[in-house]
Amino acid sequence: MTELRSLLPRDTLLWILVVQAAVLLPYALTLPWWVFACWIGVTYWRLQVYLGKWELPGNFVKFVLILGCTAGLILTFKRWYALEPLVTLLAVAFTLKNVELATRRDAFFIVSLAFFVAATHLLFEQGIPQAVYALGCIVLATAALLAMNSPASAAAPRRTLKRAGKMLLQAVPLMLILFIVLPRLGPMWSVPQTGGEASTGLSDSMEPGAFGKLSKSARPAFRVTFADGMAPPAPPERYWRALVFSHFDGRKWTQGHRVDPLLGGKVYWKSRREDIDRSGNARHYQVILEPTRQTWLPALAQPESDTRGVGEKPENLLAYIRPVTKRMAYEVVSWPGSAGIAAGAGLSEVEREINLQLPSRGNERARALAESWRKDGMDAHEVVQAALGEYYQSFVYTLNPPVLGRDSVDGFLFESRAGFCEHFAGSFVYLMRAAGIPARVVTGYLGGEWIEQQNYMIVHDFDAHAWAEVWLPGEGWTRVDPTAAVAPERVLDGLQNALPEEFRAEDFGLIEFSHIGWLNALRIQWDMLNYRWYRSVVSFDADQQEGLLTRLLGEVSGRRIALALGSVFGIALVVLAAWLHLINRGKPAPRPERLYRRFCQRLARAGLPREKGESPRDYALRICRVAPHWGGMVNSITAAYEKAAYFDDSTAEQQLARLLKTFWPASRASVQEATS
Amino acid sequence: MASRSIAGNVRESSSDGLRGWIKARVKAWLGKRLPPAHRVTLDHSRLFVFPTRAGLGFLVILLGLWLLGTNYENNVILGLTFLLLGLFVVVPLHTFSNLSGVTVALRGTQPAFAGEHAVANLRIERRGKQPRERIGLYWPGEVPVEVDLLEKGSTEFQLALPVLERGLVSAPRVCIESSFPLGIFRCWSHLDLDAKFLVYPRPLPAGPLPVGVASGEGKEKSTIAGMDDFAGLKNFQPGHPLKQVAWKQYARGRELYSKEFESYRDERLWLDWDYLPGRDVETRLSLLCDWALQAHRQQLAFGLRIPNKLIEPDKGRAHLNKILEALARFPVRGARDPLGQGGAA
Repeated sequence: MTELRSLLPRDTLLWILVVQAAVLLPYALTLPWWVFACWIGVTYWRLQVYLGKWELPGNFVKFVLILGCTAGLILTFKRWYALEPLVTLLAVAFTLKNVELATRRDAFFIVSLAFFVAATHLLFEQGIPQAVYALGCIVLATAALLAMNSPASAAAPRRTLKRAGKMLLQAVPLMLILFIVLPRLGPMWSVPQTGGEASTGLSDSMEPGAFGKLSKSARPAFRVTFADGMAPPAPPERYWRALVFSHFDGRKWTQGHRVDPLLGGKVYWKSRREDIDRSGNARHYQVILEPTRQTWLPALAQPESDTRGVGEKPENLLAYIRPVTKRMAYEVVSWPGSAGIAAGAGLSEVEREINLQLPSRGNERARALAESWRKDGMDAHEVVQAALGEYYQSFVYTLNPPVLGRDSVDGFLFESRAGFCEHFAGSFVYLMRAAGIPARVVTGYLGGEWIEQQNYMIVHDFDAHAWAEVWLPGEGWTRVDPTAAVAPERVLDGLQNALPEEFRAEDFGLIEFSHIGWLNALRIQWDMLNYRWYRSVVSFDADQQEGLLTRLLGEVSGRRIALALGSVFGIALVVLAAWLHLINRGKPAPRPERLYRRFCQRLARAGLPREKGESPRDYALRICRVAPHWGGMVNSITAAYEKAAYFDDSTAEQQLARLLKTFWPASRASVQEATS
Repeated sequence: MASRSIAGNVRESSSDGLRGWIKARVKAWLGKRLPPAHRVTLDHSRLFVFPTRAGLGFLVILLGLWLLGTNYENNVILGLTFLLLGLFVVVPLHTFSNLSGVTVALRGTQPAFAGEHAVANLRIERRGKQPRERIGLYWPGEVPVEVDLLEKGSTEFQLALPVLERGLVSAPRVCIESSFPLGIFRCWSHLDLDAKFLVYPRPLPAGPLPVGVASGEGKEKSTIAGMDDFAGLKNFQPGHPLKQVAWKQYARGRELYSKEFESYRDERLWLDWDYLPGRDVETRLSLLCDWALQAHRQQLAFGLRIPNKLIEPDKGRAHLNKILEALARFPVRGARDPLGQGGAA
């Protein structure tokens, strides 16, 4: 409208700057330093203007700023189709707009951008703290808008925040409904992924004897819920398979050269595997996996999944169609009790060759030992038992084994005899292959902390484990965990209890103090909260949505959704409108006034409305003239009303009420009858 | 007295064709829906709520957020988007509630000269205790006055309207609006407060006052006798002061004359319509107006003589106002012309 009116009120400026600072804060470490320097400089300038000391910069300064920021952007980013340049661009927009922040429109523009920037932070991490922070930013930005438009509020920050919070609270019911009901369309075009989140978990190769390979982080790797009422597997059965290593180069185990290193060979994306053995009890469960930036998905033995993008690999593994860059949930059905490949089906030549592969030289002593077993005429079972016997007799389980030399298998088996799962699994498979038994290394996780209250299991990074699988004729692939022969408590009780001393030496966070009751309870509570958050909010996808809607509405049809949506929306709005109406309604009229009004309404219905500006007495007189048979009643009511209204006479008021109860003037017809 | 609408007075451009027709219909509809009254309380039947341009911008941001959340399959962002969408639904209720129950009353209008600003005194009050913030009131196209009702339940303020033409001018509807609390919705209404401004003619330089100009056309004399300078003899008529009878001449056997004295220090003068022949009505009125102001400034007593109206000479503010009102209320051209010479130029 006019100049003056569109100018930004003075106090509002501080709000705008605070909102900017709040939404940029999470990026303090990730944004280029010059953006921050620039923002702080410009903000300082603007504050000096606010204090009346300086003037807003002229065109030359603006031009230099724009030039500088453009140059900075070009120099900083090589790739443009990514999130970081986007966020930086928004931050730069803030900065440049601050220079000429003078009108309400500028301020509104900045606050709108702030809404956006606050949300982009969630692209990098969707945890509870991040969500709460983003919500805080939104409350703050709403409060800034409020301060811009409400002179009573601008200078009273606490009140403004409260009012903004209140308005947002009123919006919550609508948010919930929209969240549950609005369809999830899925990505409409491919978007740049974030590179910020650290990957966790397993490595895609295994090199026993190299230094410090075992992950000892206490971060959750994934969480599992089992289908309703199903008990979790017993501790020794909690083998979560993720990767299979079948190629050994003398030191390092990898997935093999003959398979696609990324996907690990043929994957059944759409069709069901036909050779899977579906005997025994099926286990239905959901896994919520933390980002790994890999394609493997941990699962119990013999898994199958219907989740979109999840495929099954011939090694009885699950894989995702692309690297897992953010927390994802998938449904699995496993038949862990079955033998894997259907009984009777043999191992194909190719597979046999792959799983017997050994480097042509090296680790000669181990080779000789296996050779000796074969010469003794032992069958596969006996060879396995002999090898496990060796471990049991003279090996030590430790997280800090010595570094091994070139022939790491020999070094481990015959010299150090101390190591952890990787050493045991690697050397065991080596022995088996040398003895002519197809074998492979499996890595994944062993264990899981069962949270009784919420019926789910957390598997931590430090549960990472490696074991072996051997092909036994007639039985198929059979799991053998050589670590169990040395440290059965690792299998039964987890790493923590197997090696309490070494475990504590590392940085484990709160889990280290799990012997302190309340602290442990706190840790579990926090994880539970996170878990519920991930399960109900973060991983709420189209399938879950359909399930929930079916439960709520009986069936999912457009009409029903529209009906439910419309009615809940309508009710919410009506309630709010009624509330707003109530708070700005004036004092109700005094009782005599209300009673008299009722009297007038009844007469109006009988065809004798009160004229505008007609006094009660005149009205009564007129009625006496027109309809004399009501005269007495009308006169006494009018008299009682005058007494009650003008002399505050409570008995008259009661009388008025009493009289009114008996006064029911008849229809117009009877009036005419009476008057004619 | 015929009052004229301000339409065509303030900037209301072409009212021809379809647009004019639509405008007329809207006006007629508004007139029915919001009938004129000096005191109007706003309620759901009078208030309209629409998103502002900023509100549309807000929707664009929401669309962006929704795309972000959908493309990244990020439920938390989607949740925030829906929260803001919920806000977008809730805010108009607050905007509405900020104006609903507010009463605007016309306390009176102050007259003005054509070409200046006429001022209406208004009072705004609220029902209940809920504070009302940032209520803008303005005549269409004019600068809004911003009013808050925070602690006090009512306040008085003035709205000025430029008036171009003389007469009793009906003010247009007062626009009342508020985009509280977030500026993304605007609640508005147009109130016909039935305000009428008395607009005096625009004073045009009329030269020196017509002091001593006698019209001598058989009408009443424009000069009222003083006592100092002898001006001539005149047939005596009953009612003439006996002191002024020309006894000497009478004694010489002539008729009964009364001595006419005129005083140039006599401060009474007539402003006469007939002193200004050959000009159109409005110009005449403007010139008379200028004279009246001059006379008032010089603290002279003066009277007014215009067709169908005569005001005896007098002095003072009240008298001036009376004169100016008479000038203002002089029938406009196009209305029935009492002289039959409207527009005589």
